[in-house]
Amino acid sequence: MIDTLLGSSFLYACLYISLSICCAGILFKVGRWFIIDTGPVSVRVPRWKRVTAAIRSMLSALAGRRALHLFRLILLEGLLQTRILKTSAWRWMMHVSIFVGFTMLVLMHALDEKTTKVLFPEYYSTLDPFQFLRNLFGAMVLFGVAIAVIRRIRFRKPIVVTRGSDRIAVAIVSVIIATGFVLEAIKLTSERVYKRMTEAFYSSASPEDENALKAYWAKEYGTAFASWKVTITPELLARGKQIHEETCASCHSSATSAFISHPIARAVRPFAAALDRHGVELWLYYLHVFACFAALAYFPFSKLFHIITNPLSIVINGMSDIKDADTPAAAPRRALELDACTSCGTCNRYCSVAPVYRMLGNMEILPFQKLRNVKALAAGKMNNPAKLQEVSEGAFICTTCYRCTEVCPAGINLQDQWFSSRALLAEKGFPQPHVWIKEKSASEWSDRIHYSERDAHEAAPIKGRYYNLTDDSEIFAPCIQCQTCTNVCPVVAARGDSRDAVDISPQKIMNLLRLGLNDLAMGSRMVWDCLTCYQCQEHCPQGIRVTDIIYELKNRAYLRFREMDRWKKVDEDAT
Amino acid sequence: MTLPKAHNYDPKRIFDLMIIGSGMAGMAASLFAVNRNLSAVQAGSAGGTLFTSGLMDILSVYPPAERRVWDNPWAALAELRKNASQHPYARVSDDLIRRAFDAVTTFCGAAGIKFRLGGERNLKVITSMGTMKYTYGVPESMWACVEALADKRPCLVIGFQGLKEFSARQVTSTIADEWPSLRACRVVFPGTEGRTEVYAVHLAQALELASIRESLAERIRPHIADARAVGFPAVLGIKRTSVITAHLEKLLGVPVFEIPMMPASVPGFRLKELFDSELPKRGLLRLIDKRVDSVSRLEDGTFVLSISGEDEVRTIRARGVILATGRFMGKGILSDRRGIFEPLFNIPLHQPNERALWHSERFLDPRGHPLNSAGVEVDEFFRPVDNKKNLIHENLFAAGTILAHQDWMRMKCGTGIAIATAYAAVEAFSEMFIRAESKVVAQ
Repeated sequence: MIDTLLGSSFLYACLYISLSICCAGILFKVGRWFIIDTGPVSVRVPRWKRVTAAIRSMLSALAGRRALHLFRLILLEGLLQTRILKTSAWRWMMHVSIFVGFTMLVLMHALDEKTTKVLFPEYYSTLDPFQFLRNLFGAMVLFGVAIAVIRRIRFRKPIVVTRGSDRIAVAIVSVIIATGFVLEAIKLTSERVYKRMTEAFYSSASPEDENALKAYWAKEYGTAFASWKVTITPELLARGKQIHEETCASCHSSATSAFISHPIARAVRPFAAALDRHGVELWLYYLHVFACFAALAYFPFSKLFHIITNPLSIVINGMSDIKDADTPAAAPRRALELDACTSCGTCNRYCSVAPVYRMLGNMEILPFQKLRNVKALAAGKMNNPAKLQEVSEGAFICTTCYRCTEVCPAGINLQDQWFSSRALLAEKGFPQPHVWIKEKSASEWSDRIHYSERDAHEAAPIKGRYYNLTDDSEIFAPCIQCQTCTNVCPVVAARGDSRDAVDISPQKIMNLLRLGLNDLAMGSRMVWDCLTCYQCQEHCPQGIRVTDIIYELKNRAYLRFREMDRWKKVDEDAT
Repeated sequence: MTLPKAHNYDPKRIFDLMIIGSGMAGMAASLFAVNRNLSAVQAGSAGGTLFTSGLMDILSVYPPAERRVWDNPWAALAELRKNASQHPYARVSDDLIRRAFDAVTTFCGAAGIKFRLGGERNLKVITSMGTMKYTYGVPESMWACVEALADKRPCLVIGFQGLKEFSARQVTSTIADEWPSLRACRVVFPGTEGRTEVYAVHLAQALELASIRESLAERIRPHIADARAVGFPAVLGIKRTSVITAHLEKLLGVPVFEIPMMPASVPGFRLKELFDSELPKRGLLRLIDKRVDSVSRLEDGTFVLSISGEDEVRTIRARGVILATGRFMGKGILSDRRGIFEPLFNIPLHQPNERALWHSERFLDPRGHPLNSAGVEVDEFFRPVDNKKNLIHENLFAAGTILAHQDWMRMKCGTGIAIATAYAAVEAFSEMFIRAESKVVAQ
């Protein structure tokens, strides 16, 4: 039964089915890169132009000295994965272990007929060094997977968010490797396999010799022979060794080099007869093979697809100017990058405004969450105004400091993603706060605060750590209204046109604070146009923290206006 | 005593002199210290020199209760000394005051702000309030006013639309009795059309451009008529006032002058910029916007001053300290329910015995208020002493308006006190601690 199914047309059929799913999936994914666009609708490039632009830039990458740069990128950032090493040695170890281990297993073991056998004609999977290497690579993968799991347990939300796709990827890889090891172990212990092999390769001259070989295998390989009662003597073993060397050793290295499977074999030996009886070896074989087929078919839709997308993203972004990324080829690149993100969370760890998440509790501030939003927005899956408002807030809190792009192991140009998706958000009616706040004047905002909070006993206290400059009279009382702040303010100076002139100059803001009229200052152009250049604060002869005060006013204003204007508006829209 | 051009902060380094305060007295003391090749460090707020009008008084009113205005400051000083006043001026000679003024104006002149001094007389200028003011030194840009006012020549005062702190009409109508040929005219400053409010520094910055000056002159020219000089609010540039004034004079064909304005005004801004940029070049370690929080003193007399910043505390060691922190505005003196106090060294102050005596009954009492003469009492070397005339520390000096027994606002002697006492204090420190040391070495 075993022989009929090994290498049977059924398995081949399954292989080809999963292979074709894989190929179709890859085609589908690559095709999508040229179809979706995450940028604003107004400046979209026709699809055929995206294709030609992509081809053109690919060709130009091969020309002259750029080819050298390309080679360096592939070697260092692609194969040696220096981008991961940049931020974490552990992650690099994890990634290299899994990558090298798994790739080598695929090449040396899964495709042995096509690769290893061609390179090494004397190849047998049970011969050293192949037997040893197979164990080594398998151990590497398991080691890497273990680090990955520990990492996911240790770093939780908001740094790393583990989702179904992450679990499936880890599970599939673990199942393939684990079944491989156990299968190898069971084969060692199985009497049935022993019989199959001896029937095929060894014709015994006498029962004495048969026993000798059995004794030798039982001792050296851990094979368990049921209902076999022979007193094992040194002479018998010596004879067994002799037969082994004559008959088996050309294909079987010592079991000790299978440094993982062999101990497993010892452990399962007591149950070997039962396992044999139920044909577990066969079932494990199917599990192993079908797990591989499943991985193959699932590959383009899984996290594992980053084996292709990450090097592509690294190379494309490494070859282009990330600060001037708006070309016709930008749209396919952005779409490709969406597939390249593995949600590793590195961007979150380095995000400059991640601490704001602790204040506002809005997950959409964090870069990898934002990238998911970009994906959902582009796919047109995000239409709930309340959600869009949250996403808009997250998008605009970002300072585009380039830190996430700098550390992204996949080399994704995250800034470009932020810029283009912001523009799209603005198009959808969710622009930056200073745009919607300027739809009303400072006094209108002040009135709205008055009316909307009239019934509340007092404004809700702000949670968490917060500076309190605007309520502390010690801070602004020393102001003598000398106008120095206003005189040195570049924003006041630059507003030549009376229509967008600064309405309440810095020294007037200080005066409003002294009068307790903070509400009137909150919606002012000054507060919302302030560049935080700190000229006023540095020049203030009274040492007042003018800029810090204005900055705090802006933050406080945002919290209140958002509640009054955006959330309510959103509610109206929803009803 | 070599001075590095740029000091790197070194907590172990012992400076010769630490100057606390960045107003006129602190700046002058820093200048005199670096002029004497002392290693000096200065800390204080962003800069009280911002509040100066650009005019330099020595003494114009004495005694303040009589509101007697003096044409000759030196005669006023003689009168003050004759009356055995405890005024800080009683401890300095005329010669020292002249040397101090000379040093400051030479420094400013070299850095681009020329001053004209009255010599034996006080100079007369008009202010943005339309009042007449006696002062000892004026910037070159205000000199034409002194000359025009002396002869009561027909002149034109220009105001700008939207510049709230200056009204040409107010100037001319207030001074009309004394200077009837002064006319007022309001124009729109080029580039500010339609704006309800404009700011002096922005106008000054704009005037640095020749094209703005040309178009401004274009707007003024029709109004000149018989005017033999044109007065502006003090906004004629920040860095290159002499060039701007000369260009405007050429464009208008008559002398041009600036009228000092209420603080904080552009001439104060110029002085602040000048001190901020020029003094560090001469070797001063200037800690801008850093206030000294606390002071301790080692056994050998070295002061250890701690200065807090946003996220670090620095300590500075110095062999001597000049306290030039001013009075209430400069936070050199603070007050509470029990009285006024000096927060840093806790120097006992000369002050009224109880709160009820701080102020006179009438706000505008010409004698001023007793609190206006409160402050630090010093010995002949400007070293603070307590109420029993005992020295606080032999290497602690005080200068400027923190000193007691003067009412500089009513006596019009603020700059003079600041500069002269700073000079005297630096000289005393240098004589006592630096020259004495070199004498020992020489022997």
